[in-house]
Amino acid sequence: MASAGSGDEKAAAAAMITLISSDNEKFEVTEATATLSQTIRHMIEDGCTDGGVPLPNVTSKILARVIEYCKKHATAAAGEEGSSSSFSDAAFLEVDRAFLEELEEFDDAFLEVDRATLFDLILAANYLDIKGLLNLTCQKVADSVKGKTPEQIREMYNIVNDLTPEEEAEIRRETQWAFE
Amino acid sequence: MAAATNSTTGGADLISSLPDDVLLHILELLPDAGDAACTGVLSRRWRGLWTRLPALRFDSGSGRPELSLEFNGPRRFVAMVNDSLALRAAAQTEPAFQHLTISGWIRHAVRNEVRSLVLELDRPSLYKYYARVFATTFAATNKGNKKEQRFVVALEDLPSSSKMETMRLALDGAAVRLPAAATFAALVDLSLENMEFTGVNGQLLNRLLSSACCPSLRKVSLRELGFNGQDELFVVADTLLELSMEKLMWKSDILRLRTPSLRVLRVVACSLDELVLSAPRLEELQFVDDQPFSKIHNFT
Repeated sequence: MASAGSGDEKAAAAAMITLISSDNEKFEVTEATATLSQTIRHMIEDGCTDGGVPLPNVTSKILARVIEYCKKHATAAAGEEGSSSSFSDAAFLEVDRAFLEELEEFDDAFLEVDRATLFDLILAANYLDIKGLLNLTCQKVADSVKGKTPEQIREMYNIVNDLTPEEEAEIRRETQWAFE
Repeated sequence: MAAATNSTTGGADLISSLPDDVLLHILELLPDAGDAACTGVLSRRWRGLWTRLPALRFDSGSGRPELSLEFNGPRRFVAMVNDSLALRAAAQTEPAFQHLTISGWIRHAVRNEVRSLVLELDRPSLYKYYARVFATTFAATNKGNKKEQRFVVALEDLPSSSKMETMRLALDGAAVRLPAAATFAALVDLSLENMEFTGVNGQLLNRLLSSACCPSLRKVSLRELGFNGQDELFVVADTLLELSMEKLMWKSDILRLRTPSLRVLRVVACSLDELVLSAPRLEELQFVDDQPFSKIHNFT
């Protein structure tokens, strides 16, 4: 039973998928990495990944970053499955903790990008349906907005206020509690 | 390659061009509904967007310390929750909204078929202090009249819900009146904390935990509950897998469980006199008590 299981895992690890960016660059990734994307997972399940998966909404620059994220987190997912089936003794927990810390450091470093790239990553994560990446990137935007006045947010994100003074006054009146 | 690589983005408003569902996801990650509502004033694109949030979180503790420090802070907090629920109801096609209190919020949530309701109440200590002083003076001037000013959360007319999956109520010692007829077909996880049940409400708690009332219930946590009636706690729940009880105080001190699916039972500091247990599939039992009981029956 154990040998059959590891055989399957090997087969899964060996299965490669080709992703094609909007600017026609090809990326070879393992199925384990690719299936962090629910969108691609469904394509694989439907058997329509032969000849590569075209991703017309994602540039090669962004796709490379997304794959970098998925590779790291696919290892994490595999690690979790492994540890859940074994006894959770102190040694295992220690390894898990070290790995989680490493993952957190990776995520922090991963977010060190300019704003345009951050929004491109959000759009790619949304399109590819990669929950972890979408949460990570959206959280960074949420954190930047938290506790800021509307004026500060507008300035930070170049938002043009197209409300008339009357409209703005009305909204502020309606949601006065939020501004107190 | 055309994208700007410096930290400024050439003046383009990138955030506003994100699709609605992504913007809502970002707003959902904000810690408080007030933060989300603030964005309504940014521009036309943002106006009213927050009223479509799938989840609202109101927190008087973190981020808004003034709400728990000022004397009229709680009143402002209540007004804040009410105003935002009313705006949301107006923007959506939710049932009309009237001014509400704690029990009203719970009713409103159930009526609007929310899937998850978490309400943790901890009144500012100043309020508790004045309530106590008031109650003592009241008792002193009306000798013989033992009626205290009680903090009551009245849920007897709570409607049924087939959508609610998780409900967690921590009510800061309130006397709770439970519903006598409502059912919760989808409720899986129920947690009740820090409340009191007087009179018939002890019986109604048995009803609430029963399969007839909550046929999908899998996990129940009861903590710091007080019972004034003589009724024993008698839980008959077919689907229940996990039951945790901590610091329950009741007069009869008898706990009866008929829980054919129960796997995990945790009873901590309940000073039981008697436990009657029918739980043939029990795998894990944790019993912590400083008063060993006189009788244990096990019918399996």
